[in-house]
Amino acid sequence: MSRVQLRVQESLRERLEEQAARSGVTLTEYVIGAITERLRRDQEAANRIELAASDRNWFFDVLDDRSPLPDRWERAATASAKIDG
Amino acid sequence: MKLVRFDHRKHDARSFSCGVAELDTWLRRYAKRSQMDSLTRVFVLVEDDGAAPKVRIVAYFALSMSSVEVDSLSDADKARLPRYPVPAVLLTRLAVSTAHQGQGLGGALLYKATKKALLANDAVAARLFVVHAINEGAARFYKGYGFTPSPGDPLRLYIALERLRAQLP
Repeated sequence: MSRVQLRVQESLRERLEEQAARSGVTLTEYVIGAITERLRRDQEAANRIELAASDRNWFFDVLDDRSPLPDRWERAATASAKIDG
Repeated sequence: MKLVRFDHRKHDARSFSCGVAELDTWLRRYAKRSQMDSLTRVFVLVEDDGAAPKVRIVAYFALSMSSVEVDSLSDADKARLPRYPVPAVLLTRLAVSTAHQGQGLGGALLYKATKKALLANDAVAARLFVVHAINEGAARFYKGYGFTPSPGDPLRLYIALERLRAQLP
């Protein structure tokens, strides 16, 4: 375990304590719960990609693209054959 | 050389240096946690010298599952996508140590990462392989392999997994 200190306005502290008490948890549990939920949402969002509506034609082109792959994949395959695993 | 799952107890992340601080720092500080949280799978290329207490890392890459969503698609467009948002495999990072650059290892690792993406795709549906390029030079590298940069973010590049599956040597 390690300690994290927060400096907040007294009024915010009071509001947090009040809501924590209503929720039946300690202030620490309440704050950590909120931070953990925010962390989970941010981590999920980091891997979710959103494209602009103006990119839609480009996006469908990529999905449907079946053109020949560049030759350098052959060289990459040859080089990768020297690697175990 | 061997490609294995990153294990912070066995692999020396601290000495890894690829010339891009962000990629070095991520491996040193965040790869262990990210893997423990199942946010990414990290693979390292190692050269076992036998003597060192920890094995030196030559290169690494990290893979995650992802999804791609297009803002405000029409109903007709959505009809073209039975699964929406579109599932994707994301290559979040790929780096080769400065001492081993220029030997074709980047391409070899991209090939390995792609094979792993296709293997995962046997069990988990995904239509795209997406890469995050760390800079313009990296983006050029991926473009050379047929990846297409998105108009809104030229450092994020895409290729259809089905195209790779059908043609990869």
